[in-house]
Amino acid sequence: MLILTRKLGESITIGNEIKVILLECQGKQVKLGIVAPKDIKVHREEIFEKIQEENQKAAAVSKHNLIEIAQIWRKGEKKSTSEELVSSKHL
Amino acid sequence: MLKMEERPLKESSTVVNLSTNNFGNLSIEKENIITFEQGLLGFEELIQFAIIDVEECLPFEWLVSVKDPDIAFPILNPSLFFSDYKPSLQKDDLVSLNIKKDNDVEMFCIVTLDKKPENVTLNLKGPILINMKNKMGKQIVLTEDYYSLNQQLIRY
Repeated sequence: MLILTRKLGESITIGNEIKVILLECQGKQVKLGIVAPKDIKVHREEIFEKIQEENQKAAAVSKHNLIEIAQIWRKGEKKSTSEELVSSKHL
Repeated sequence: MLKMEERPLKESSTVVNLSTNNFGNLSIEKENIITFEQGLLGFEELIQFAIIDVEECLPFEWLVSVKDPDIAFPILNPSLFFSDYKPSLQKDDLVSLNIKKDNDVEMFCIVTLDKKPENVTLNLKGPILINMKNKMGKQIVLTEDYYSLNQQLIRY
């Protein structure tokens, strides 16, 4: 692993198109700015772990429980979708 | 002319039979099998899946592993609940699934629930893309911060 020391406001470049800037440093927290082309995906690493966990939970869902949810949904749909379901505005 | 005993052989070349605890015996047309070259996150060894509809579960569907049919993920077309969920797709995802037109692609989100079935959530952050034309699928991770990993579906 290449290790570089940087001061606040300084940056590093990776290849021709990627730049990482050290924006802020407070205690144990560091704020980074990343400039990269649109097709380069930048993620916090732990997101992959969290999605793995969600997938694991999903694989454990039983058919019985899903049928229950489907029934609740159908009832809600008959009554009033706007009341019972979280609307997309809450995203 | 076909002899009677040749028929099952011919059938098995286009159909895969799966025996599952949840769904009984399933006959899957090979042409409907979806290939996830990278598997799903945490399930990288499972490459082939089929979408199974169980009437009592609709609108939820199941993504069932062909290799291990007792592994199945409940999935949902997110637009049923979130009509303006239209994440931007990255070029490399479209290229890896050989998606040429918007119509080729279908999006699903994985459903999770904890012990209380009403705590049902949808993973909007890691949707599944499937090119229905070539039956190639991929779970992608969106870069948008505002999509939740566990968006609640039902509010009380």
